[in-house]
Amino acid sequence: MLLEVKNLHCMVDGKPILKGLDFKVGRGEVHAIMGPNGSGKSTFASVLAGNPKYEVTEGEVLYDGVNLLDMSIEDRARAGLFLGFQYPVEIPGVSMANFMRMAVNARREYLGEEPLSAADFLRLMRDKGAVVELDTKLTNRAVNEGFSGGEKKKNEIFQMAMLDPTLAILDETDSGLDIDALRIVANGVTKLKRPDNATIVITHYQRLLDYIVPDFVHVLYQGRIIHTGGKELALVLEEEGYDRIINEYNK
Amino acid sequence: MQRPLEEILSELYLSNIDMIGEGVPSWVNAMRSGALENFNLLSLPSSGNEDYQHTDIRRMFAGEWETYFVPSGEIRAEDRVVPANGYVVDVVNGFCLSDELTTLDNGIVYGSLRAAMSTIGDVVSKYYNKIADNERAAVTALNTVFAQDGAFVYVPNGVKAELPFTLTFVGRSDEQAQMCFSRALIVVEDGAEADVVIAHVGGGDRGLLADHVREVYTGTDATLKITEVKSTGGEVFSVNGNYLRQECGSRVDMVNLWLGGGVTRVNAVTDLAGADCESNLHGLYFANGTERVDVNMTVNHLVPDCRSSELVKGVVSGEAVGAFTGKVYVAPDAQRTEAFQQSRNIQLSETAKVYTEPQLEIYADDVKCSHGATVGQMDEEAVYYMRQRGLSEADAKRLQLFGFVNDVISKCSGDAACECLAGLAQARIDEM
Repeated sequence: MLLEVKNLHCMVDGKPILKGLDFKVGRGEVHAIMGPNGSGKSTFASVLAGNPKYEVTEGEVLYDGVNLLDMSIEDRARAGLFLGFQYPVEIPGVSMANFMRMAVNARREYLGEEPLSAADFLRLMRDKGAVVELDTKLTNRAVNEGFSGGEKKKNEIFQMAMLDPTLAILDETDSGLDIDALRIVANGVTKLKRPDNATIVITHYQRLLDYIVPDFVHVLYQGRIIHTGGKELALVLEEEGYDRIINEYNK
Repeated sequence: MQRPLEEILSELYLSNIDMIGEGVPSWVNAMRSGALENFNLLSLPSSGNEDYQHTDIRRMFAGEWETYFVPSGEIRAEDRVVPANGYVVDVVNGFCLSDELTTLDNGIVYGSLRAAMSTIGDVVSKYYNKIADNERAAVTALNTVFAQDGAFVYVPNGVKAELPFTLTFVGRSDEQAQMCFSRALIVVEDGAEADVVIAHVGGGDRGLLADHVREVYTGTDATLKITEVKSTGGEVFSVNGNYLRQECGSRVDMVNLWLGGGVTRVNAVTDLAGADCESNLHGLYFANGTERVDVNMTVNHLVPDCRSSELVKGVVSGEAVGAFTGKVYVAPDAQRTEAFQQSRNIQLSETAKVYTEPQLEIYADDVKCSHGATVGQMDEEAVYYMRQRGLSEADAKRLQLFGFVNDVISKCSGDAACECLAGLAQARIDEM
């Protein structure tokens, strides 16, 4: 297993959000996590990334056999865990190129590889920019500054392509995207799929899953996974909402 | 009872009057007595004075200072914080290292201010002490009393300086705590163009008080880029009077970097005296430990149709204090003025303090003026975001700080200077 989450509990500002979440991801798999607002989807993504705002009170997370919760935010990233942010942060004055060069080389150093030469790095930027049809002008600008909503999300997938993660978690990457941007983002994710990596897609809507076809669809409710199915589950949820599954669970 | 400071300083002048006036034409020396009178009338401001509440000027001058009225010291390799490119003038403890004045074929003159006063007095007298404000700033009047030499730059009508000017002011006290006075006069006449880099460097273990006045004049349609950096070591008190007068259609792009060293007090006054001027004034300061940087900027829109833009950024840490007071004055007839002012600060420690105070005084009714002031901390969300991409916490903070200051640094004149200053700023960030 690439990721094993056992009985995960976490709190934010003293309020419990995740209440015994169990979850497993194997290499080569695509998992979709769906669920009503406030069920803890983004919290789960943040806990995996190591956001200091969330306090894990119980449970275990193994990433490639290692205790993920003991790792710093940056070491998780260097070990191949990538979080595509729901709200990418603007960093004025910091160029995308500079930021990415530091990020890529930090990951390479962690993996025991030599830093990329300037020429190789620029080539990588160009190649990966093409994956998400990201205007090269954007990579010359400051990180996310003045980017439109769609550009910010494309930029997340661009960074994902640059960093070549083992486990990518995409937190509502589809929110705020028009249909063209959605297609570009989803195609980007699909192109990056390999037998040795895995993707967790957190989404509200089924439409993203038309492009990124999941192997498993999970329903997260009140801090736990209450139902798991195949890709067809997303269509069912789209059709009838979460009520039936929640009612069954409550029984 | 202790004698008043003004009396002590007046006596210092009177008992050294011959030495101070030596080698300087009489028209310059004649200004000294008037300035001394002004100085005594004004008296050094106390910290009770609203304009000086963040810097105790009196305490600075009350130190045990030794003043030499003859050249001393030399320039060292470490003083070249910016490379000595183009037309170079070096000033050590108030005296130009070379007595000579260089005159180029196109009429450009640069070198020792004292030499210029003697040899081209007709030119110098048109500008010297005409831009500085001896009536209101006691420290400037005091400078006029004591200044013996400094750097001179003259770009005559219609001439475009092909190379940048690099002026280095070294203040150093190796044996005694020293007080020194230096001066810069930069004249860019009608239609002329120039690029000037000024560095204030040096330091020393014994303490130094450097009172510096810079007068800059840009004639009609002149263009001037000016980058000034203070990067000193040790206990240095700097008092700077920076005066700029712009005539019609002139454009000035100025960047001031206060990269640290002791206590810095700046009085910067810009007079937009002719229509259709543009003045872009950028500043950046770092202060940590017990350092203080106190910047007081005034832009006077005296005539219609001028544009000014100020952006001053500060980063404070430790127990340092940063202060920015920005005054924009728009005269009654100065219609269609555009004046923008921004003060942005990052406070890295709870014990550091930032004071920022915009002051607009507008007497015309058809103007566009705005100001903004912020004091904030590091953006933790951005640090988290960068760490999620694999950057260490320290690198993420460094990168963010560099991003914060980069829009000021990137405006420095001269690529070589800019690159070198970016490096200095980066080194400063690493210390913060």
